[in-house]
Amino acid sequence: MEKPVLALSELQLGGHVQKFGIAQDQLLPLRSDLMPLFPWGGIKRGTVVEITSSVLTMALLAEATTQGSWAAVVGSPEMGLAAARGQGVALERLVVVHRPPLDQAAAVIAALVDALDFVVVGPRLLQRSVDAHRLSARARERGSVLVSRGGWLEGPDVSLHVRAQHFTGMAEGHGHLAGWSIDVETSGRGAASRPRRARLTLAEAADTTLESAATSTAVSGSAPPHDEQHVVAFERVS
Amino acid sequence: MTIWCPDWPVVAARRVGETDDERVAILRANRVVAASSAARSEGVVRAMRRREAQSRCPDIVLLTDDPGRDARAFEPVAATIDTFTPRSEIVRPGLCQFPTRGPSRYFGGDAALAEKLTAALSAIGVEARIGVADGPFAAALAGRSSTPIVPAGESTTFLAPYAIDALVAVEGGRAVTRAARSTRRASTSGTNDADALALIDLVDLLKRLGIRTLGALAAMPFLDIAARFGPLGERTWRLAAGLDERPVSSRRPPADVVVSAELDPPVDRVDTVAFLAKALADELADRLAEHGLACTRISIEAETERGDHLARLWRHERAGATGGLTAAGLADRVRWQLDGWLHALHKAGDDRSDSGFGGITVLRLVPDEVVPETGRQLGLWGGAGAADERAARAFARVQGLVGPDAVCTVHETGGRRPADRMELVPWGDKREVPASAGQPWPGSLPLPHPTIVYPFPLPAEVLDSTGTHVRVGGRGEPTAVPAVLRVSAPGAITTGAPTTATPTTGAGERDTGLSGSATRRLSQMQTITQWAGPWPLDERWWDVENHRRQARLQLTTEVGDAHVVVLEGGAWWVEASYQ
Repeated sequence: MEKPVLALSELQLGGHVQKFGIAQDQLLPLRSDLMPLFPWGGIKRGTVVEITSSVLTMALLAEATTQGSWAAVVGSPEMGLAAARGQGVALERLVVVHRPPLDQAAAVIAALVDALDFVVVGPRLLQRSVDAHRLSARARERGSVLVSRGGWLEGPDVSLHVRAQHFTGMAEGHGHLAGWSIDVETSGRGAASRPRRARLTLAEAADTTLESAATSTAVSGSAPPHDEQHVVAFERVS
Repeated sequence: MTIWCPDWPVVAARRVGETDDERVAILRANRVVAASSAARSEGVVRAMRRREAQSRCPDIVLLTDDPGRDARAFEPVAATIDTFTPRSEIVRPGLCQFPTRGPSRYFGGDAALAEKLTAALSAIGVEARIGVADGPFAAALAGRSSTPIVPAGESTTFLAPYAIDALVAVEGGRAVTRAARSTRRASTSGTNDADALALIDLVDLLKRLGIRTLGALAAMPFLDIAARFGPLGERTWRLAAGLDERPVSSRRPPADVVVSAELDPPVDRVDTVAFLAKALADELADRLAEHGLACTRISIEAETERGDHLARLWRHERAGATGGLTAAGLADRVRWQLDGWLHALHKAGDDRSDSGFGGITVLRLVPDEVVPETGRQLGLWGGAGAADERAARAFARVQGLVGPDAVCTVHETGGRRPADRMELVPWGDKREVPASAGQPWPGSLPLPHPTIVYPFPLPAEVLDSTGTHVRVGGRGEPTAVPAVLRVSAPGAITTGAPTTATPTTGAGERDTGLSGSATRRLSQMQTITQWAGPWPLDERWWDVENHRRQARLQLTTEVGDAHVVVLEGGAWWVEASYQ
């Protein structure tokens, strides 16, 4: 009689078994629409996440940094930091190390992994897989999350891929980019091996001043007051 | 009474035998913090650069600043002063103070006490200046003046003619140099420097307001000063008025905040002690924080194997200005003191020429005077939570690895172009918020911000459906409908690209930071699916170097990317992307 009951409970709990198997303090807070992408109902400390998309990286850091976690971005000088703030990252708890010398990169990342909850590692920063291996182990031990911007030499625990991007608001010279959403799919190991999909809307909190200002510029662009001056405008080599 | 040994770092270096040269200067962070009188007569002054000092005085001996050495050498002085009074407190190595009421009656007046003390100190080879006045600040000034003993109750009149800079000269102590002010880096001694800088700023402001002497400051109504300048102004006023600097609210600490450690086996090595000092100081700071207290005077007590009981009082330099000693400050003082004692013990052991000497068996930290922790001004990065402190240590470590400018925090500045919007400031540097932050900046791109801003824009071509280059006319209209975007491979970037990198990002390395796949994806020829703009931008026309004239387009391509491309100087560049 016992066996069917057990089987039933397993069936009912299904995927939730995993979720409840992890203590809350092992999870870092996450934007609610990113939650379905991770099997743990949050992002588990000690994992290595691979995200090539810049905006997705920011979205991942947003909730945790506003709740007190520190994050470092190493070797990604192209990351748009204004956008990071727009996506909700608390800049007062973000530091950037733009161009660490390659021979020191592993040591720098290790020092940051020891103390911070998130360390974003730029592509091509780690030259040897043994470094990646060591850093993954260290992140596991210290309970911090390593976010690789691609090219992680060990298999990451979870990879987030952008399948498609949808932009709205632009049309043949009119309007401006206003709406932005992305379709994300995951792959990974262990509990994360089942692919998950989600659509994220990445609209920033509306900043009306900027918006209206930019619109007015666009309008005035079609009827500039100083015509002659503008004729030479963009062709002149400055 | 204040006992002040001029140029103590120099004297200390001589006493521990590091040098016996006439011309000596002590350097910290490439600036002179103390110089011997011989060096001074050749024109070496405080805050001077190393090179400048060397040029004035070519055969000068330059030593690096070492607070541990200063403290170690000061121990015999403190021990001598202890024979006169049990309540002497060390403010910093080289400066010591004690209340004279009991001792001066015993020795027959302030003058007699000062004389005996001077004699006792010169017997151990220390030249000291002694000042007596109602408060420590007035006493310190009296020690430098020709009238070292100010009669009781006359401190206010004594102080009145002094220029207000005296506050900085006495209070600033060793930390303040003009250098510290110009770099505004509070890295080495942390809050102490920050306090000193705040004081310099205040004095500077007062001078500009026409308050040039201590008397003028003391004549101001206290409430007005407090209302205008806050706690620092309040305290400065008390000093100028010759009142006791101690805040009225200081009180005896509760009994259970004493921390102590039994050392078994007895400790006789300085490096072991350093660890111990740190641990004990941290524990004490935690205990005090639990009570909401901050320590302004600490008694460091130790017992030795031979049953000696040693105790010494250390006082926070700027007590009352910013709360009490920090954990790091406590640890430093404990380490210096133990270092001093251990040296004395070693010496005693050598003198008796027996094999063993007394190691330290018990170490105790007793907060002697505490004030309610009113909450220090929090740092730029919020509270001093455990995670924040850990992070700060990690950043300091990384700075140690790759240089102080490598770890940057991000601050908003204003700007129209994507790369102008944020500024990177090295970790630990103070930064003044520019007025431009938070302004509307008409003409900047509408939200959302591009998530990738290329440090060096990628050269590109924008073509119409027939393959001709698209231009933007004077009316801000494109000459044709943009249909194709072609981006040159980042490897092919030549010079002449308008750099969007802010100066702080520095490095000349042209690394787009993109992964291989992203680069490949970009370098293909792509059909433009949607586009918006162009928006003209013409900024800083009054500034030849920073003048920018651009037309910007937003566009999406068939592969689903969105970019910001700009036309500048007749060429197109991909300046930023949404990715």
